[in-house]
Amino acid sequence: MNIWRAFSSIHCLTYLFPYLGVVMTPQVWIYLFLLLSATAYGVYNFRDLTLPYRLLIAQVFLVLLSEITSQVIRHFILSSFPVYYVLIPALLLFNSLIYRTLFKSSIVLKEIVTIVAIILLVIHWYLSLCTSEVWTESFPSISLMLLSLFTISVSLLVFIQMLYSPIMIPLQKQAIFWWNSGNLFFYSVTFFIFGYFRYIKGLGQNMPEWSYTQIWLASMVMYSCHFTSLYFNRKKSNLKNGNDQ
Amino acid sequence: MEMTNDETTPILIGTIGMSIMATFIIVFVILYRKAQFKFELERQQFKQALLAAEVEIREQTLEDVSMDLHDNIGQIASIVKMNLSIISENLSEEDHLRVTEAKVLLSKLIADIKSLTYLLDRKNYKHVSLLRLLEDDIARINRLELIDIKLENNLQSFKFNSETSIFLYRMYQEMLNNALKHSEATEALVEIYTFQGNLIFRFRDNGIGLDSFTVKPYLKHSNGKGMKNIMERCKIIGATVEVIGIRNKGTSITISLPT
Repeated sequence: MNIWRAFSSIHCLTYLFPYLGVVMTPQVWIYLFLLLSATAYGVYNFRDLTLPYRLLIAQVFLVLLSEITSQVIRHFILSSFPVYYVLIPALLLFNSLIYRTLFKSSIVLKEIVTIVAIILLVIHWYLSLCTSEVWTESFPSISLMLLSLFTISVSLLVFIQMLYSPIMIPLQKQAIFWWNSGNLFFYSVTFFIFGYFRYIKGLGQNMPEWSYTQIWLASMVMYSCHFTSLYFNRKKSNLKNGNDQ
Repeated sequence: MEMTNDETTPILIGTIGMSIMATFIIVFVILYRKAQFKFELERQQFKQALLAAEVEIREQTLEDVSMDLHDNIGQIASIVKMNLSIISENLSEEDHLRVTEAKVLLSKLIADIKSLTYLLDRKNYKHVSLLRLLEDDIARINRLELIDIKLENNLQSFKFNSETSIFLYRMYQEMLNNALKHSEATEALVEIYTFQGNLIFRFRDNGIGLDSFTVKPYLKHSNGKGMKNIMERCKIIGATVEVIGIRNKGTSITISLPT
């Protein structure tokens, strides 16, 4: 991966966005920088990574693209909601694929993950196409909460599997620990915030500003954990050490 | 600015949620470390059991060989000696001398087979002390005049359990085998003594030695199974082994067993 090419792309974007009238807050820039760094690191070390983490790079790259796209289209149609109608099922697909590769020794769990993911995809598209209002006016919060619930459940199963099949590598050097902890943290925060403000308090789209900051912070934690997991997976492959996933 | 109930409730719930998550991670880390420790313990126990099984299989094989030697080869040698005695009565003087020489050699063969049979079958020396075994074996080797071995010890009243005795004896046999095959030594010294709560068993020879490295690199470069057998037996009885070799000045193998 040519680091200079990546840098010059960012350089172009910094001119492109103001030209299009798109103004991005420092929060967004930091977020994009983290996503781009993780993607660049993953692509550069692609050959040294195992299958689940190669899928993770693709997922992070997709999130990066969707974030840029949402910033641009928000300027034109005043809403970034349509992006999430595509991003959420894509995240569901990637998460289920990655978790499938992690449940190596249990065919039953693999099949359960696949079936649940398919069911949730069907529910999402049904809600999006048949019951939802115009995409620009409503956020797919039910789909997001279902995705959060799915990921929280599966990540807890992975933690249980780790307890039953420990490996002799320190926990803080295991890629799966970082990846799973990041997912658990982010999706727990997201599930709580959406569940509380939209459905318990009944605020609908009018969530307080600080809740979006919380979600942003949680996503920063998640992608930092993902970056760390890429680092340890690559190191493990280089050392040819242990049976870490 | 005072916070309303509407603002404090989610903060409170969020804080409780974060605390639960932090507690979960801490508990998971503790449980995982316990699981790792238990897994490592089970792995070590499995390795020990595997080693013990391998050693048992070898001992069983030696017992089978001992039985075959006694039942087949020993019997055949005795029959050949008997037949020679029968035919020697009607021979010329020259042939009679040759047959007598053959009978002497056969007698020696039968004695050696008996001795080997005795040494290979551990049932024969389960109730014999280690020192007695070593003395007998050293006497036998010295008679062959391949190497001059001495035994030194200060263990008159020391009691070994039979398993440890057998293991130490087998390790001595491996060391002797290495010395005879590879070291070109003319003299060897076997020392057994106690020192600071440990039983020290040392085999030293004056052979060609090794380069000055210790047992692990020696094992890497060695194709023979002798040292590996010694290492495995030491692991089973909880002893440590140290190999020191100096080029052209001999080799010393020291086994240290806590008592």
